[in-house]
Amino acid sequence: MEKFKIILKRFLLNKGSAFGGVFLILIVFGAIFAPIIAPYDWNAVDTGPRLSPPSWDFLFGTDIHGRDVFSRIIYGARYSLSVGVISVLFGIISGSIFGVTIAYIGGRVDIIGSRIIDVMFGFPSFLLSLLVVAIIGVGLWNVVFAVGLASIPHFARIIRSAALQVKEQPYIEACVSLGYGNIRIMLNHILPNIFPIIIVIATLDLGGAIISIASLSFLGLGAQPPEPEWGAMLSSGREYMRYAPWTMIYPGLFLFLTVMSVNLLGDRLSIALDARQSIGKGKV
Amino acid sequence: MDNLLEVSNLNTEFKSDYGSKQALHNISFKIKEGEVLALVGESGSGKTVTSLSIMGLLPNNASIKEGEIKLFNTNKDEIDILTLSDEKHNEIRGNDISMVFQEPMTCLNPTMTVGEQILEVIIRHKKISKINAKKEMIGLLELVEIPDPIQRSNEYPHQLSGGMRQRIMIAIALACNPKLIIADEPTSALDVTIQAQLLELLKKLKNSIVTKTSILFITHDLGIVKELADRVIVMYQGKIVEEGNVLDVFERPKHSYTNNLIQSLPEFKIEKRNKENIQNITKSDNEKLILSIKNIYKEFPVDKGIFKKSTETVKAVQNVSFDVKENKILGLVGESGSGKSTLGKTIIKLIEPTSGQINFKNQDISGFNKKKMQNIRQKMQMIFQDPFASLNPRKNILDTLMEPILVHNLMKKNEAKEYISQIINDVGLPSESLNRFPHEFSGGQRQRIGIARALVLKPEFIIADEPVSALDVSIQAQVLNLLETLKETYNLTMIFISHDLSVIEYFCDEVAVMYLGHIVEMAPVNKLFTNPKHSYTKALLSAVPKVKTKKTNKILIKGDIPSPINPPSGCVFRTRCPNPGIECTGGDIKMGLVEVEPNHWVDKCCVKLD
Repeated sequence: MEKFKIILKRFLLNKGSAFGGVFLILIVFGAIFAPIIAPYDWNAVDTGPRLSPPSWDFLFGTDIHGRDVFSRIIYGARYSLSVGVISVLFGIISGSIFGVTIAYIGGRVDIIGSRIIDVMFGFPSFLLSLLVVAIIGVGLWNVVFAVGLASIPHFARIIRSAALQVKEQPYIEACVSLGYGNIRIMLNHILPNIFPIIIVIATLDLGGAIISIASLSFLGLGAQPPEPEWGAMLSSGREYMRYAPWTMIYPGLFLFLTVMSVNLLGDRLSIALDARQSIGKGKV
Repeated sequence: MDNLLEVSNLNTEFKSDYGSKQALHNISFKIKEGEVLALVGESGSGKTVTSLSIMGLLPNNASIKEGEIKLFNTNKDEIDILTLSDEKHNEIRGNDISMVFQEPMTCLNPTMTVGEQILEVIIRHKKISKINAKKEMIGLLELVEIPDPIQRSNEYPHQLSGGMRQRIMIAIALACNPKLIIADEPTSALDVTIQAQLLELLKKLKNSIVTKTSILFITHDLGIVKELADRVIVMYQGKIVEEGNVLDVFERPKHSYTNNLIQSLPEFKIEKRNKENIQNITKSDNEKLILSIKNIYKEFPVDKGIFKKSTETVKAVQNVSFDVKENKILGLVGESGSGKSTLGKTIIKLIEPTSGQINFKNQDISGFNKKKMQNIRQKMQMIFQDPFASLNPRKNILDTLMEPILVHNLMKKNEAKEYISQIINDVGLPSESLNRFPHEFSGGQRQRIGIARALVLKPEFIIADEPVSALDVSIQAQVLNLLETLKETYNLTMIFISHDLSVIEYFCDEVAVMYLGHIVEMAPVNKLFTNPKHSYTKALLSAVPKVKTKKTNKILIKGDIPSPINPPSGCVFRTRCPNPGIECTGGDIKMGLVEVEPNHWVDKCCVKLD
């Protein structure tokens, strides 16, 4: 518990992570209680004059259909956050399974697995997601899957090297000598010891995943209108940017602030957990 | 003799996230000119902090709260070290005081040849021309007895062995004829035979140097103190508990801590045991074999890329055969690189043997696959060397001990809980410790947990791989005592791997001496230690610094262990043998044991010599 307090202290004393934390809490809170907070229905058209500038009635103005941008952004947080988290979860779980397995088995399996990772790394991950979407078709959940898939090589490589280090620790040898099976050793003994690393790289990647999904939605491959996903909102606001910039500025701003908060938090998390030093040594 | 260094009332403190901790309490001592002063204590007793305080090399979070360190230089000027500026301090370091560290590899710059590194020091401090400095450098290398000094000086640290590197470190320390050399565990990372060579060198230097260099020798090894030092200071928890002449302190220790420290040495325990019960030997000669290995080989291919086939192999274990009888402890002893750990791991098949038979309870397990082994593993367990790395840091002790029971379906969870708390009591820990995590325990306690984990499956056979060598002397004694009682209560048969001969002598029934993958001598403990036959065994025995016995003539063996990739032809020991015969060098000589007396086996090559 003492150590936990120290980590928390290191965390809160940093301005960046404190800001990121507060902002994220607000966003998550807004996303959960969207129906209560949002002044209007996100999909109700003509709640006010079309393309009206920000005012007390419409904090962030209205769009071309007269929908309240503020309400749409609050509902949009639900999409952006959840799709980001889900795609990272998908990527990190698959990457962990792949990385830990090839590291533990070693030998030829490791060599072939590592080469597969290298080949996948050859493609820019955004291109890889585009390719996947092109194959499986357009749609928000397809984009989530594509972005998650494209992040696997990155996760797998880091987790493989962390698992390799843990694998060399004598307590893993002790597990073998106690007659444990391979799956038990991987799940029960290697995985918990690389968990700090998994948390840190997942958090650091979350921002990127949110951006990638928003970008694909912006290109019209992900969320389809009228869904209030931030990327899609940016895309539909594009045409009116000259006379109604608020239809683009506010979704963009929230996207920016969310991603920045996540990154600040992740950055600080990696320092607070001191992930690199604590592999397998239990210093956390 | 005049005083060279006076430390008075030194208090050093460390600050951390958890608050500050005082590492030194009122340390005061003096070093006279030309004297070897030993600083002894267990880890954490403040030996190194003391030396770093003198050198001004304390880490940033440490501060000297109080105290004075005075150095008297060549002109008998009094210098207060603690008030010096950094620049002035640099002048003193190297010129007046120099240091030899424990780990010679990390203290030498890997990108410079060792000659350049010595030159740098000479030129920096003496301000003489390069040619003269070079002459001096070669002289220094000769002084520390490095063969081929001109050629060696052009080599990089990684090309030299550990013992050579430490000689280079000593040469650097001597470069400017310092008044004081601080040697912080300079031989602890080295093998006994290499350590013996270095101690011999230090002794020679001590007697020969006309400039009256004093040495502050920091060590945990009381044997070395006895051999080398004039006076000794015993430290405990940042305080000096005893100070005096070496002979006085060892023969009439005044402080109870010093007394305990000496009494916990295996050599004293052996003596005590011999006095107490001689009938120990008459224990029933149970001849039931638990383990019998035949012609075990283990060779590791040396990797050369993915696609190229490796042509060279590391010959880690070569043609090893022996039996272990029920309730007996077989000791495996040898220097690092002798293959003793590999052999241990091969026996319980953590490593697959290249060829040979492993008969465990009349069953040849050498060909068993992983699945088949998992059931047998319950019967054979291992105790690991490093108590810090051999426990999973994320499992509490209960989970660590519970998991094997559940995996092997030995008992139900609620029964197991009771059983586990009984075992944890047996290894000397309270039941409350079950809910704690490994990092909350000290090294000795962790090793107890490691032992409990090995016992929890009720094994019949245990391999203990250097179980006490990572521990302090007094903790070592406790853990050895524990193993001894457990051996009785749990009816254990053991293979005990160690590089420490006195621990082996205290603990084992039989000993096998390994050298470069071969067993060169094997005998019951009493026979081997009183009447060693093989020249390597003799050299090993005489290399160990002891507190009790006075050594008159040491058998020093030259050089380092050859590479196991290219072991010498014929008898593998011939390159270091003190009296090799012509027949040893021939390539047609095969290693192999011959029974010279009942149960006393010696390698053929050395039998011929006698």
